[in-house]
Amino acid sequence: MEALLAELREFLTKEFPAWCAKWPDGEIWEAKLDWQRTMAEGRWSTATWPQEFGGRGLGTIEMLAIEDVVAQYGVPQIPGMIGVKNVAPTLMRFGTEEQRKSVARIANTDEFWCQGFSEPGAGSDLASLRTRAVIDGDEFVINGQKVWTSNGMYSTHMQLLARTDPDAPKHKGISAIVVPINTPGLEVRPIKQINGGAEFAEVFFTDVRVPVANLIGPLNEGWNVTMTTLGHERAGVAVFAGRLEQRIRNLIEDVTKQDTPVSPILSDQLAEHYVESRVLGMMGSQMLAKIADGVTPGSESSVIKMVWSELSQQVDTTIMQLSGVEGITGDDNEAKSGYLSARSATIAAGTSDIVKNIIGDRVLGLPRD
Amino acid sequence: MNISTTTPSERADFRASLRNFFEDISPESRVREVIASGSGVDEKVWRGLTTDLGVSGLLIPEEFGGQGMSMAEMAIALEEAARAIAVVPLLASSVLAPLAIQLAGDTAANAELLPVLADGSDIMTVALLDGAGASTVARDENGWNIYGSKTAVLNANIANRILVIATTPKGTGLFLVDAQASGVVVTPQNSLDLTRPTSLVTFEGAAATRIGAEYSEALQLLNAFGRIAVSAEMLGMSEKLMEISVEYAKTRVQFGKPIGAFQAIKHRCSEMFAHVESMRAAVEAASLVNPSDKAVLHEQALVVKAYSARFAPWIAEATIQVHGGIGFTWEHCAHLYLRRVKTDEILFGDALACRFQLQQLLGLIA
Repeated sequence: MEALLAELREFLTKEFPAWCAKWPDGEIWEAKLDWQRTMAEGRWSTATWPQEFGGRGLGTIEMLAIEDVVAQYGVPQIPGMIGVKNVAPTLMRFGTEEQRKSVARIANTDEFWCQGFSEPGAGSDLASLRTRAVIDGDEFVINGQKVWTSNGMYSTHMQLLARTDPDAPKHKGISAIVVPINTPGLEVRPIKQINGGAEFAEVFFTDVRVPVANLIGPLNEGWNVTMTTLGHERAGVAVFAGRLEQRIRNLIEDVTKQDTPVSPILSDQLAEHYVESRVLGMMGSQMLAKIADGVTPGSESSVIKMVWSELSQQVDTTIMQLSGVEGITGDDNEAKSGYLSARSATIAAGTSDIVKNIIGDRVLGLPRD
Repeated sequence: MNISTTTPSERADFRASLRNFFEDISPESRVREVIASGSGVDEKVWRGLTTDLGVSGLLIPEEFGGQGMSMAEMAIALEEAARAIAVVPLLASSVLAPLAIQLAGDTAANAELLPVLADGSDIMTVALLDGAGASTVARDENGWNIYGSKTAVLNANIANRILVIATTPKGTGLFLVDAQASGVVVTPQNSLDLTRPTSLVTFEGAAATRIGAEYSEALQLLNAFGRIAVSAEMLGMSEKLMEISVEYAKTRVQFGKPIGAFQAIKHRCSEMFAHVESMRAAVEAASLVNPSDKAVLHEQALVVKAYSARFAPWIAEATIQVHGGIGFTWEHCAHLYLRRVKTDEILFGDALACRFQLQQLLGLIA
């Protein structure tokens, strides 16, 4: 492990300054794509991929250690995270030979993938999705609409979940289908968020035709095909826990350094955040230790997600409070936009209400509504 | 005190055997019997814990007849005993008393006092909190005499000897008094916790033996261990309360379905679960800290106490809420737990007090 991380540090020490020199504005899309290419060439973003697909064949623990080191260097997040972490593993496992050719292209940004899952009428109840794919000869004809498609505006391809059997029980009538974004009849529109950003898109399908060969995995097995690969994402929450703990330590340190003393109530609130993040961090470490011992975590990831979402949102709320007038005037823009952005922490990737249902139903065995 | 040398698997076995023991010998019906008797201790359970299981000697070195274990193992014992709310002086006589004595570093006192605590033949408690009025002082008057009063002294009504933290002319000291001695008056209080009665202990020139020398630093450590200990109790009770709530939610039917199907109840139970898991992580981490890492121990103890003291009471209150009307009856066990939880919340500093100390540690307050 040490040799691996030493190699990584050497790589980052060389490549990150070079990238910074090349891109004065590191925030632009092209710059971030370029960084992703660099990380792919080094086989760092793809470290858990099998070696036959250009990865290093490493496990979860090594990946988390890599991500830890990467975070320390403050390099940009690779923009094609969904493609690398979710789509590519799905294609590697369930894809046809033709589909697997996309894997390498996903790593090096020649292709940029999004996932067409949520719909206006199918959010928390994703399995009720209604975008329809009807077989006509050797093509699917697709009609419907997707929403909250991450980076849909930048994508070249979509991993679509569509209903192929409306008569089957809802989870069993869904298929996963590859849809190139430039297919006629497909329209992408950005969704403007409360914080002014537009990281997601709505995607409209009007008689979009793709070959039946674009089916990923068996017909009507799309739910299993897609959900199986989300398994190793669980470990990621343990890292979030540690990062939030560090974020709060940094916040407190900043507060102690400022000239104006903070009110006793806000000071106590910071201590409360400190306590909860310390405890969350302990849960995260213990979960990682379990993974390292080869034990599959059970309820830990749901609990950590639930606690992390609410705590990180509370922290942004406190930061907004601390900023006072400067938050509402926009002089402290970071506090202002952080507060707005944080509203999504308890909604994205599974609302807190759903997570609590999952804990209640699956962990505690409570009866369904 | 040592660091833990047991494996997680060994600790799991220890927990299982303790759980069986308490379920066998200290079910709720027995707890209520003992409460009603007014004796303040379930002799049979205490014998079992001391003579049979050696739990009273966990934190006492083997050379003094103890098990030479650590807070990690004692935390499990505290959890399981609290889960059963067994009427035994475990915290006072097997945790606080032996720790208080050992932290003084007085070899003669160790040799004299630890063996009888280890085998449970003597029951002691530690008087920490000054009663209303002035602080408790010790004056050297050809031998030490104690003046003042201590409140919320756990199990003082059954203790043979009482360890007293008192102010000395030069600072703080740890003293030992005989509970029956002249000048010592033990007045049982109408305490909230029915399973662990407290007393007001007043000292009017009570003769005392000093243990060790200046005790201020040792007192800090004693408080830290105390925080971890009561947090372990709160964890054990919180898990039991959550289980009771979930069981009720599955079986109580209203409007044609078990009430656990309704989201408000379901979410309350899920939140209990999240807090229990969090508490478990914190108690485990704190109980495994190397006692010689004083700064780490101090901070972890404040964190675990701050967390437990805030959420264990919420869990106990939410349990009553989930149960509706019957949760408000004497007959239901919820209040028995609520009483101990609320007491543990206060001992060694409540959440607010612990957060205050953390603010000082973090530099938010000078």
